Amino acid sequence: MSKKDVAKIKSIVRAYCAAANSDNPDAWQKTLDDKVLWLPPDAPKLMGRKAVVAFSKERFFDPYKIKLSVKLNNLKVHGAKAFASGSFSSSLTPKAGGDTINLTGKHMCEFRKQKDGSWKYGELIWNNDKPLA
Amino acid sequence: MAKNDLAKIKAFNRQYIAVCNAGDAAAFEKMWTKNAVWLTPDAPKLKGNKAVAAFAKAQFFDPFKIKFTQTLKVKIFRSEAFGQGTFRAELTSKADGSTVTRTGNFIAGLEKQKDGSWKYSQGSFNYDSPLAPSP
Repeated sequence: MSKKDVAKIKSIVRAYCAAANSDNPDAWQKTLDDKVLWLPPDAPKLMGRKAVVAFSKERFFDPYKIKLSVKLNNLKVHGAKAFASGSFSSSLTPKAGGDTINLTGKHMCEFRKQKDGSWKYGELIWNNDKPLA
Repeated sequence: MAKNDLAKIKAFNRQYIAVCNAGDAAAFEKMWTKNAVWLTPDAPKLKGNKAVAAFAKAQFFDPFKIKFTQTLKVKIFRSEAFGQGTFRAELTSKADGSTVTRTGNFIAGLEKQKDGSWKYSQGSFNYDSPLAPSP
């Protein structure tokens, strides 16, 4: 497993969080592979970057100010694919006003190496540690 | 990708389905590695095959009669495999006979064992939709 690839994967996760935290869906979508597969909780699977961005804008970016932190554990790189699981914490503050929703949870993901040597999210599933209040 | 390994993983998936349909917690435990991690919705992370099986027993096998099926597509990398799939579960309450059908998606990792068999080392699933409230 190349240290360079591990560093690049960690940097794409940082970019994913930074874009979410700066309310920047345009930057956020650049961390996703064109054919990304997203498996959100209590929703049908989403295939392709456009579908994932549309869902995320409607569910997260448009209604909330986001504070997201993601930890990767158990990262394994196999050629042009990498796999990891981990945990996350997030705070969602309604832009329209109201109480902040604090969430913790866990995730599994696949990263795909791009032609330029960078890495992007290829598959992601996540869920919360407890039901929403 | 070794054809033999792919065939073994397909057989593993068929066995997993059979074990779920039988509600057999002891057999279910054996399908996960000792250090397996299961990331289930709205619950803390489960660590170890004993915790995984205890959760499945309490949440599914004890309260329900189960009709379960799942697809599994994998990529094999020597002694590890990663994949994703869909599932459908018809859960009939042993207490009152009512049935709910849940469908969903999952991502899983598998590890090849010393004897050449495969087991789940990690997995996470989500349902396609929230559980409809009871009437």
